Amino acid sequence: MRPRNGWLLALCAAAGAAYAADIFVSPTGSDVTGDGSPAAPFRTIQRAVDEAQPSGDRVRVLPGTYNECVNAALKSVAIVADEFVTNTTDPNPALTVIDGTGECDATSGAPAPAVLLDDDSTLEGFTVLGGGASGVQAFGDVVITRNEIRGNTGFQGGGIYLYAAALDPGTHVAVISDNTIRNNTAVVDGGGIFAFAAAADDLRQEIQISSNSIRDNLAQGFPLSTTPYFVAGGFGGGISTYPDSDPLGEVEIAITENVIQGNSVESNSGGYGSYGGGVWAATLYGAGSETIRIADNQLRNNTAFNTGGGVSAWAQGYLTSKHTVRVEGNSVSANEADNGGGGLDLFLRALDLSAGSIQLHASSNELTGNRGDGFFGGGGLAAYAALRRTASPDNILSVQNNTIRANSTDTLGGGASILAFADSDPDGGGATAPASSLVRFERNLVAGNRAASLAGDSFGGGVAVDLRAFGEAVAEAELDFNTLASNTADLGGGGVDVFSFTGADSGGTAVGTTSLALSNSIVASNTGFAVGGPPAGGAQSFAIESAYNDFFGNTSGVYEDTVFPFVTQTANLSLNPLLDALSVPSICSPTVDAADPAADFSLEPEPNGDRANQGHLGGTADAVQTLPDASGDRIVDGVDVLRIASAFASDLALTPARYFAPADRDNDGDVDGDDLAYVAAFFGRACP
Amino acid sequence: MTFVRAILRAVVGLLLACGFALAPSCGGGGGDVLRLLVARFSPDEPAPGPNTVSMQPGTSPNDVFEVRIMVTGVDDFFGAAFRVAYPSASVRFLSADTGDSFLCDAPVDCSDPNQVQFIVNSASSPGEVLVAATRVQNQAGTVPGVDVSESRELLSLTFQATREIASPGQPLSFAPRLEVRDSAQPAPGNEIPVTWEGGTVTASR
Repeated sequence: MRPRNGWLLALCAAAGAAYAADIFVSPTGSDVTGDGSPAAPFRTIQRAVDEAQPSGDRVRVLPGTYNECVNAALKSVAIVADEFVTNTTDPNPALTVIDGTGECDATSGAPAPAVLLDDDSTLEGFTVLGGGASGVQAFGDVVITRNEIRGNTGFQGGGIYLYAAALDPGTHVAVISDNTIRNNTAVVDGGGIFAFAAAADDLRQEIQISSNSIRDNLAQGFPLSTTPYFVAGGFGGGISTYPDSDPLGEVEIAITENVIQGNSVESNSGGYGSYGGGVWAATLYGAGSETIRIADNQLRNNTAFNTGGGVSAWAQGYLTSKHTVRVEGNSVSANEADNGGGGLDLFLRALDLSAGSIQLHASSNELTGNRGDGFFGGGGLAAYAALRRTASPDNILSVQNNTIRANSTDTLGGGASILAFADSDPDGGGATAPASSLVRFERNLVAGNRAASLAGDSFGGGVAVDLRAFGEAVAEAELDFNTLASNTADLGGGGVDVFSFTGADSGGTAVGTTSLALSNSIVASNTGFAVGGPPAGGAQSFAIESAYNDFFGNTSGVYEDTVFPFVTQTANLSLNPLLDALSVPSICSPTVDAADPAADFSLEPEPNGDRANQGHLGGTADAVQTLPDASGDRIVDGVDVLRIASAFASDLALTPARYFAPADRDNDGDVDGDDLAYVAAFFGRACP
Repeated sequence: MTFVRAILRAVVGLLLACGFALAPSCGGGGGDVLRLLVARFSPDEPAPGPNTVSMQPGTSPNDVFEVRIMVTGVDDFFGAAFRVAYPSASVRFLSADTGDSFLCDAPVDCSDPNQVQFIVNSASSPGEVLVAATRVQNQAGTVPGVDVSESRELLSLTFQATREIASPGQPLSFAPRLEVRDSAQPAPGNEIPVTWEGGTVTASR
């Protein structure tokens, strides 16, 4: 037994460390004669871990290669490369290597993790390779940081397997940050990382996966025909994660600011499975509160055999589930999925969700150059809401404020594919309850996407909408304040293509209804119809409400004959929206101040004409301003200045005789410096 | 001093003395190409009558020439909006000067933008200078216009001729969207009808 020397404690105290003791390991040390001191370090990390107290000690590993597999079960210990203690400027994880090759790798006959960590442990500063049951296998609130984890294999989590389940009240956080995780392989899911978080009643567990470089990992997909397990196929080439919770438990998983590239998930099961080339993150049927946030990551060049080339994000619920999944602020480019959702695969699913709610929000993502083919299509994203015997309006799938450019499909939805499905009688056995499914697609820029195939039978260049409702059920899609420009389709809608199917429940007592609301949008310069599609099948109870849109320059016209009978139109325009190369309308655009007068304009910068603009910037702080033209001649010049100068300092309430409404450019009831400033800012601007 | 340095000093001294112009008197004695361009602005109406806004010549030392925008015989002049069209192939706009504007007469303080506004823009429309020059009304509506009994300067615009303009010259004119207003309110009903008179510029060496 290593003596608990007083000098060790003093050293730690002097360094300000929170560790009870430091135990040193060196390639030149000895497990026989060493005592873990700097002067007599151990030879193996395992020897030092064995020496550590149950909690509070730190193992400092000097540079070198350690051909061993470290098992720190039942210890709360920090295992740290000494390089990362002494070199505070540019420490290098390549200097300290834990190599399980021949010891615990897949060919060793006894596959095991290269490093096994237990609750409240840390692994920092190593290269970890040669693990045969993940590179790092970790349980509980661990910190895995600043390592390079490569060339490992595992059933779940080729690089890292993390299982974090809160066991007692208090804060429970597991962290995987600032690592490079590459070239690892998982049989089933999480080529780079597999992370599971769980919380029993009244407990809370968090997992944070941030600022890692996760690349070139592979989830192979488990063979369906031979599996004894409940899963088949593959999930998450880069990251696979899901939570579970009891009704009063809380789980939060955050995947933020990672670079996730070149990962892939395959299907080794005859086409079944394979979701999320970069990330697969899903709430399943946990009964409690679960949140997954995937934000500010860069996802590129990931591939999925099935859906979600970049990300597969699923929100699913049952009975009391309160689940929210957010995918926001990510840059998603050049990812591919053979069966849909080239960039993002968004899936909202519930059955008999009576007391909870599930929500899935994708917002402010940049989706560029992704490809999503197959059944679901959606080069940029596929958004699928399927609600069965679940009708609460709180269950929402929303796609907002995204930029969806230059994506492609060979089936449907070059930019996005939307599918809303509602069924009041999913079992067909007569156990029915109302169901409603709603996908909100708002304030997205969908430009330059293609639905094109060699056969020439692809449709929905910008967005493809598929609505299906059975029994006492409603399936709806709301496309509001979008810009759909310069998209291309082989057939049907170059801007929007819609399909509807409504059917009866098993008793034949009720027939579903479907509807598409298309409003406040710019649909311009698409190849194909602005709105096309074949709403066929069954006794259709289907409607398209088309209001306050600008349809212009679509090569085949506005409505395809097949959808026109279902359309109700209100106040649509057909004028050149004057979009620039970024699809932003000019200040002279007729789409300025042309949205539904009832729409909220309060966020638009003044002067905003007290009415929102059409298109993806309408109603936002980035909206194009209204031409401050006080004289009504579409020119801002000295005449407008005179109008304002003459009526200056007048007030509708106090000096109504002097007040001149056209000079009150911000419509705030007085003519003041703001109005003059608006005119000055646009002085000389003329609109044709 | 070496011979080379002496030569250099002599050349530099010559350039400084001649302002790089190399006019004949500076020893050039050479051709017309190097002679300074001199611009001249001639008004269409040198002696404008009442209710006129006109262009009148200001200083014109060389290729740079000043055009004074003069107001003649207008009562209660509160402000004006106009455009000056100029031949942009041979003239460019340099600047505006409002220092002598009668809009700054008491009781108005021209240093306060809440009392007087001059906005001049030449970037938005090639070959045009857009101008707004106006007093700004106060809350009580008591800011008066100016009674201009004879000719007074509203502001001046300075241009530069960039190439020769042969006689009879090219026009500088007031382009459409011209307006003069008095201090009456509300705004739309207080336009003062005036005559607008431009001029012609020539430039030669």
